[in-house]
Amino acid sequence: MTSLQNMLLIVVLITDLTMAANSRLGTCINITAIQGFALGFLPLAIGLEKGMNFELVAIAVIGIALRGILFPYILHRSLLNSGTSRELKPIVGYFLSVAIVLVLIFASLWISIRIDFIAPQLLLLSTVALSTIFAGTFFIVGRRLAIMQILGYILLENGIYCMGLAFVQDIPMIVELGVLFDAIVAVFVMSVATNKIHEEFEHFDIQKLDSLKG
Amino acid sequence: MNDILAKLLPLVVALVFAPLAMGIIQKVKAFFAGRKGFPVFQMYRDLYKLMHKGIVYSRSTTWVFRLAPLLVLAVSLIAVAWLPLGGLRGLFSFQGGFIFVAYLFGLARFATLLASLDTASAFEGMGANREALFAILAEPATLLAFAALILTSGNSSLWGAISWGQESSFAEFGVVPLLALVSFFILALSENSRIPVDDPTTHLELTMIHEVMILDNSGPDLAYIEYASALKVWFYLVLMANIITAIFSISGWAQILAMFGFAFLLAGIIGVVESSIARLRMKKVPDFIGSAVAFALLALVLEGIL
Amino acid sequence: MMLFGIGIGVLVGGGLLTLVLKKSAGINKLGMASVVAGNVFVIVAALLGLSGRYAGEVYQFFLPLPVGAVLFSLSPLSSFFLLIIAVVTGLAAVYAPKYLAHYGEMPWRFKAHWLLYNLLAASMMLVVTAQNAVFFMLAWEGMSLSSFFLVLFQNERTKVRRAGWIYLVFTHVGAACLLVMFALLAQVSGSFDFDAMRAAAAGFSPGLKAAIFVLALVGFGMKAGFFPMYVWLPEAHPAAPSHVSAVMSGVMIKTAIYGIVLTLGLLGGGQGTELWMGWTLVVLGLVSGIFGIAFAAVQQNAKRLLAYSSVENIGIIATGLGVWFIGMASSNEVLARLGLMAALLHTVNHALFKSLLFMGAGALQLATETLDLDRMGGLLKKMPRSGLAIIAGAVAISGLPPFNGFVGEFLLYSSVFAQGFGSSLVRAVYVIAILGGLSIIGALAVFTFTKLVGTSLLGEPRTDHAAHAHEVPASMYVPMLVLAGLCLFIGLFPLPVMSALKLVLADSGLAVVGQLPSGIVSSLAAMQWVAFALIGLIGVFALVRSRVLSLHKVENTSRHKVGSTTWDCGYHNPTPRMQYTASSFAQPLASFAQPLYSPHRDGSIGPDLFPAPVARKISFPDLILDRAIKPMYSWISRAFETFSIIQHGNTHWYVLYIVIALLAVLFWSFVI
Repeated sequence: MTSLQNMLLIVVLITDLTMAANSRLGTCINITAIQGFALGFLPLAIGLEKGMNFELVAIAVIGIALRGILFPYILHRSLLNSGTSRELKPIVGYFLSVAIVLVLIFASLWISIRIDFIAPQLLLLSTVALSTIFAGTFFIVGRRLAIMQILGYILLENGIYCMGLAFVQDIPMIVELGVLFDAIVAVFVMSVATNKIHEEFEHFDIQKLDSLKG
Repeated sequence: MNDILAKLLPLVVALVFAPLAMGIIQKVKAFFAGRKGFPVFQMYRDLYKLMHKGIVYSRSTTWVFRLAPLLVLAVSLIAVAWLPLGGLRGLFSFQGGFIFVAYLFGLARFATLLASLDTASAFEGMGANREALFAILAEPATLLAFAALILTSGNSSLWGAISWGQESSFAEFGVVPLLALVSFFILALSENSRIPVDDPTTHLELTMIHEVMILDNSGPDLAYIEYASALKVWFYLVLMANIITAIFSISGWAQILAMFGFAFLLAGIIGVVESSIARLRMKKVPDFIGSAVAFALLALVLEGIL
Repeated sequence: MMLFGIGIGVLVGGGLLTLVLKKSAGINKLGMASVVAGNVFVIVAALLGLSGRYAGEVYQFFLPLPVGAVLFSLSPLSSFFLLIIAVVTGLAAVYAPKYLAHYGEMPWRFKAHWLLYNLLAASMMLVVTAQNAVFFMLAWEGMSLSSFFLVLFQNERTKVRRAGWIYLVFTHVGAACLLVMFALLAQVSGSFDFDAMRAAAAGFSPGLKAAIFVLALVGFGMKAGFFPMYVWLPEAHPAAPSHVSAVMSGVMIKTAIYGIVLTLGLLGGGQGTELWMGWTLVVLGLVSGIFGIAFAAVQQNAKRLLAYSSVENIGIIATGLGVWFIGMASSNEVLARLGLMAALLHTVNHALFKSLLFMGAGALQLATETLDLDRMGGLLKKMPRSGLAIIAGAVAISGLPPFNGFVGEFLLYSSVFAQGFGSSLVRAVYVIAILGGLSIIGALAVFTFTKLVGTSLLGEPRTDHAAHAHEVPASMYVPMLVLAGLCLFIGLFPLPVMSALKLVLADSGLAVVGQLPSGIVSSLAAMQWVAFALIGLIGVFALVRSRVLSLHKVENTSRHKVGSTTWDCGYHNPTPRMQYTASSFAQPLASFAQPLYSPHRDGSIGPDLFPAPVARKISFPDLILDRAIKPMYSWISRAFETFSIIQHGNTHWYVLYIVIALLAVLFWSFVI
């Protein structure tokens, strides 16, 4: 791993942390966009080290277009529709959230050391991957609003992508595209669902969804 | 003899330029507020003026109140004397020097807190309380950030860490110093009572911390405290400038110039930050300082991995 | 050696002699004189022992014990602890008579007090010199019992009796663990003598070592006050007379530290330790430190606050011991030496400043007739000398330079620069633990002790008692000033103290050899100069200030003013009740860490349109005692209450139970 790749991975790690600290939904969406850009540039950084090829460039371009631009755009739109701008009462408080994400980072580091087929130079990559997955799951669990759940899902997907990079240095393009299209469909469906929830109930606090059960 | 003079240079530079840095922050803030602002050299005049005024001591106060300004200034002086300035070594440097200096700042804080409680004023008690509370997060952030910086280089003193950047490729570990830098920037804002933690221009409103603690100081005492806080701002500016020059491996005469450049640039950035974001609610301040701890912790963990 | 014997003899004899006197004043004087005289002998013996004069020699008292002989030695390690005990008990004894006098004329109680006090001092001295497990346990029990009765000095008060019981229970659970530990050791080595145990240590199995370590940790931890076992400290210290709290917190809990050091020796030093033991101690120490000081920060009772802060300081010492264990287990000499030195130095430091602060709390109590910080204020003007000593103690205990507390913590901090951790990641974890833990402790200590000093000594008096307080007699503030001076001395001249500590490290029982790393020595030397520079600069600035002021006094006298009111943002009639109190100082911290404290609020601020007088009280239930042990016991007692249905009070039924039980036993024995 070169310092450029490290730098990009650290950006991903820091975005995980700042997500935990932020209450403004718009900012959180922008943070995931930054994370998407960092992850999008990662194949290019790998290409600089190992020789550029078409697949890497394509993955980078598609990744940046979707993770960095399209997803945030869709989410910003559904946020505009909803009229909510911040999550005021998360299930887990912000200070505690940062602490939890830090603990998750430590835990992923520990797990990465334990997985013996991860080469030492890929330790950071797999740590970042695992902690992003964990952080994504944490946001799904620890936040009330549906938008944050979608963001958590995107983080989860980003983490899986990183994990793929850690296990197999260059992911076959078709696999990566498959994962990405899954994500597109998911984000679309979820944002449509969010809008619907909002239209029906004037809010999208998922904690109140239990009133639907028959 | 030349050696000693060279070692004294960082101190002399700090003594001369610290008020100027404060002036630059003021000027930037004034610019963003659409005002002309007072001259950048205003603080020198203020200090001169204060030194020629009398002191009013409250009936409630004791010798503690009179000792505190002296101690605070002495500590700031020692801190800037220790800090290397680019290629210039500080007056003293030893293994674990950063711990000593952090604890000296702690001593100054102790004295300020006691002095403000000595006045028996509710306002100053409140400021003291908040200062003591936020220090609980600021102290570990300071030490962890220093440790990340110093241990990455395999050295045991700040001077070693900074000059190490000249020889070896600091860029290889660029991430760790960068994270430490972010941590120090947050600390520079919180420890020097700048926005978004505190507002240095007012002691009213609900967010008073540092300024309210020195409400009762006047004349030369106030001059000492103001000068000391200017030196403390300078301390953080030079510290961050040191890290930046080390990251970019700038050396020689360019380093000295770069030091000044970066220090004043950072002063400008502080001014921009102060003009562009709002003060945080009191309950949010621990989150802000806590993020400095988070960055420092991250830096240390990465130092362990990389 | 004769000197030591004479010293113990004078202590015990003096204690007994007080029984014949009739007048309180005479009893107090004689008690004090006997402690001081005895301790002078012991101090001389300890100084000789520290220099290695008696190294390797074991002495036998002519009267034997039921099991084994009375063996003791004055090795450098024992002498080191002996010296601390003698100095602190001596100074506390000087402090005691005038303090006791305020209780009034109670000859019998004073007689009992001095007898027990002298026995406490003597038994502590025997604990740290004993070389035989049975003798050690006898001295240990003597120490526990005499301190228990000393805590009960004001036994007519329910709170004091309750505190005494809690202390007695905890100390005996600990003693039980120690008995098992020594029994195990004696069984394996075939003797109760420590030398025989050391000799047999090489053959101990890892399981046995682990068992002994855990037993020692729990047994000595109960006395020392490690994190979940500290419960008796905040109860017993406020209940005891102040000089007794000073001795108990300053030195008695240190005998447990001696015990842990001794245990490592009994385990065979470097070969006996394992890495997990070290990490356990480090984690336990840091957790004790953070919890102790976090709870100290919110206390309103001065002595309760100090008791919690003892938990913190014991935690720092335990961290040092843990670093020593880690160093021994990984044969990392630098780490081992730094850890042990830090632990021992902090032991001295804490003995000095904690006994100083307890005496100070006693002085404040005499002056204001309360320990509640919210009822004090402005006392520095009334009590300049004891106030000065308390401020010095507060700076020292907050670990700030140029006082002694900083030196010990600096040694611990310096261990992060040591090389030779397994991997860089382990080192990162170590650095985070030590730097993060100690700096949080340090910042919380600043919070706690600015609160203590700020609300008691500074500002304006909050009650009439505080407004009419007087300085305590010289026999009370002189010991405090002496202790403050010692704190400053160690802080300003750490190197001579370090070389004295090197003599202790040379003790054969510790298996630590060699010099301190040169980096540390030069650091300490440099810090010494900077500390002098700091004092010099303060002097210069003070001169400049007075010069400037006197210059313009000529021009315009009216501008320099002493004695105006505090500038309260224009409010010109501030009252003392408007000041920040200890409770209000603690409130933001308590609300920030709500789950930790779960503050209990009594009374409320009414919603009425027209304000009426309201009373509101906040208390902070102890994490372990009030929120773990008490609920557990009430649960157990409720669980057993279900059995009360079989308790009828009807004899016929009871006979039936007996018959059923007999039949059941018979049936069972036939079936099996």
